[in-house]
Amino acid sequence: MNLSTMATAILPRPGFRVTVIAVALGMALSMHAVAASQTPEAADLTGLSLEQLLNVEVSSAGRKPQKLEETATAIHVITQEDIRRSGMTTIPELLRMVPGLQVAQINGNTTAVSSRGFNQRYSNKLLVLLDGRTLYTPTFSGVYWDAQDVVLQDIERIEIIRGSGGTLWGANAVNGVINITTKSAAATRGGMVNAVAGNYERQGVLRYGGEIGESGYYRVYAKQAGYDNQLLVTGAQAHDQRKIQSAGFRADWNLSGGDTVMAQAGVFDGNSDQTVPVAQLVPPATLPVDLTLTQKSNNLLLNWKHVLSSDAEWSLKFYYDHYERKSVALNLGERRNTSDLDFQHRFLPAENHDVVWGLGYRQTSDELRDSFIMSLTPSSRRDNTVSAFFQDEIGLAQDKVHLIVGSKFEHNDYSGFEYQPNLRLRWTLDERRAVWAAVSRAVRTPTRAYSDARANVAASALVGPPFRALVRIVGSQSVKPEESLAYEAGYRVRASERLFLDATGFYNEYRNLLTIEPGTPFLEAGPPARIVVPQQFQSKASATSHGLELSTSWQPAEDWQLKAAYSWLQMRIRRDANSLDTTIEGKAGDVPQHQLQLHAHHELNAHNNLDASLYYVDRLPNQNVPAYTRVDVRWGWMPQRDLELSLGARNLFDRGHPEFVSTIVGPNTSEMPRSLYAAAIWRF
Amino acid sequence: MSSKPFRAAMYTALFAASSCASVQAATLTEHEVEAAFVYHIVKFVEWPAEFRAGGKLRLCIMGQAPFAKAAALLAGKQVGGRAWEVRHVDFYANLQECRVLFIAASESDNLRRVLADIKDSAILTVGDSEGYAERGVMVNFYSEQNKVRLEINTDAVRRGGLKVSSQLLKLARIVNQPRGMQ
Repeated sequence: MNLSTMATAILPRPGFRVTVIAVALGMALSMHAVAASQTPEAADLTGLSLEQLLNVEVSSAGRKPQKLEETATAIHVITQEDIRRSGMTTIPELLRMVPGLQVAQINGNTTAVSSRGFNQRYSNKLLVLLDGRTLYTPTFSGVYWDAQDVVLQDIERIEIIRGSGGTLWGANAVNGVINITTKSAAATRGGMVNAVAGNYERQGVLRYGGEIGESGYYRVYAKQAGYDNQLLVTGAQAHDQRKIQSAGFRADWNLSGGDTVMAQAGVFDGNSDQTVPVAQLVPPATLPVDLTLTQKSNNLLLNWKHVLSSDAEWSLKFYYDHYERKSVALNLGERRNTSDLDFQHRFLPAENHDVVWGLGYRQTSDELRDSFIMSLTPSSRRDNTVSAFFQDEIGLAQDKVHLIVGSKFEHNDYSGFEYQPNLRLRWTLDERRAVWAAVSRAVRTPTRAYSDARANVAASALVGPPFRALVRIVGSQSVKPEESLAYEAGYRVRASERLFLDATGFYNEYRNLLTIEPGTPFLEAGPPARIVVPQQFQSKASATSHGLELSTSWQPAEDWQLKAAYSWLQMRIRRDANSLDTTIEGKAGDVPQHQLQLHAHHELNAHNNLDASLYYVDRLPNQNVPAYTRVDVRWGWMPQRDLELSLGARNLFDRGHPEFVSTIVGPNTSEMPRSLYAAAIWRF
Repeated sequence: MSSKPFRAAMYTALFAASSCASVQAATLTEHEVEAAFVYHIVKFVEWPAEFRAGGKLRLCIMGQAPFAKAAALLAGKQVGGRAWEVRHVDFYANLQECRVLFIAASESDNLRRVLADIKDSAILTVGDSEGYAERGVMVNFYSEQNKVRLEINTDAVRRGGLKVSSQLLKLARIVNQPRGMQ
């Protein structure tokens, strides 16, 4: 595929679907001509002598899995070791250690997580994936973090990309992608028991893995965890406990001929308590309701990967996901089924070209029970998304400069066709230093609630009987996709074997941001009769943001590692001239301007280690949330290789602090408490 | 969008992709060369007498290593009257029966603990990750101008109770552990 056909494909015009399919087909067919793929069987060289071996030319020397220095994005990786040493027990808490991410708990089971700004309870510009299954729900466009759970010891790595990931990952990866990858079942053989007990939590995990025949592996797990009520700012007990149970399995087969097959399934059952202000037509007009959200979900994922050579492979992935979320107290119920099929192929079509392309199809259907506070019209809807992407990494100037061009093309049932191209450049200055720069366009497509919702969010008796006023947020079919244009640049230097520095700067422009526009009040028949003040979702704001993200990792001695990260973020949101949304501009103050974190990992000896972390998070001016500093410490003791014990404290020097106040109708804020815990991991 | 053309594209893509598998050419990877090196290197290593007996020579592979596929070819091959046996192990496995332990890059975080645990077990440690030799792995592969080279940490070999013949040392870059990193 050459650049001119690519340009044709990028231009949106009538018949674009035909173009996309034709391009994809053309690429598929042209693969027949691909030469120099190599056999997946290994060659036996034991017949050669040592001297001869020293002279064998190998093709892939240096082409190992991409190192951090070799990417042209702002990327951070959380390893299993990082997870172990952090002492954290949930995914959102783990994400605090990622430089440049905004993580803030609203209460004990609700967390706001975003990248490069726009933080809220359902941050809609961040895509989260678990083994390729999206955790982003299209109902409210965000992640129900309290309905997600993973056995943390089974995580291989968590890759976090700050900035636009739209080209590879599609709509909604506007400001970042979080990619959680679990270990192959081949890496989790034997048994594991994990127990955690603390003054705010208890957790038990049982996992067992083994072999299936000659080339297959499996693991099964069951987990139960409970998190206690925290305290409100007033010192009273909050209603925000959480209980979860989950179980599942994963199986991996390494078949001959370079095929690997993975199958996994999981079931989840959880309860989250919250206190939510609810509008009602009888006095008092707004009533705080203590409710329990119950969640049930199950999913199945199959992935078939075929390795053609060390530089070429394709994979086919299918998953099915079902979840339900209910509150009896509010008569709310939501149900969703999603099926997704995804194909990806990576190959080297010519010297200095490394191409990856793919096709995807997703169908999602939902059902929402009609209730006074929230309904969707229609109450049930089925949506399809079809997508294709390609990316070519071109090596130039003796492989010193890499140019990466690519785009995603997507068609969804709300806004139709979307394209999300990017252009990236990586220049390896020498063995230790690299610079990169990128320009990318991404979109956050309208989703179910923005299009079809009707939510009564507040009531007021001010007008006096017999009339009551009711504030109602309504969706609109005319909501446009939010668009972003992102400019980024970064510099990485491995100053020595022990010192690594990473700096990224960015400037982003957004338009068609979601606003809530007041409409003309009208009288609605009762009983009781009410004056409805409609507030409609519209796309009438734009924004710019810029910032700097610095991180460094330094190992002064083999047994001592230090990490530090600082991020600075400046946002400005502007409503359009015809917008009446007076709150939108203040939302720039929903994220901290400065964040700093320091981590120290010390190996006292082969059996004992000490970890300490410090987090400073600036105030949130829009929410009157003050700045806070948090310190975590942990001591790990490994008396023998199969047993690990640890003691730790989170937020050690602080009795409690609030981190975030949900500005949309949301649960009460409780304080992040000081917590102490003991944990044990035993393998057998 | 109707799903028909999409499905057609998907099938075509799948068909095309799977037919690529039959295209073959002989290009060697560093892992194949490394596996052959391991096969030969043991001839130049002397284990303490109590570890020399037995008909099997066990190569253990720890972590996720692309090297594993090439190393699988060694299984059953004879070297110096002993037959190779290849096992995959994880961090928690009993390593006492391993005579050669290949530690993958994925185990970098655990390296210190693994080495501490097997320091008296007469196990030849091997790796192919930058910095492994300095950190105490006895034999480490690296690449130079598309060729595989080896470095040997002679301190680690001595501490492990093994002896490496000078014939092998001549072909390798000698690495000594920096002070304070032992």
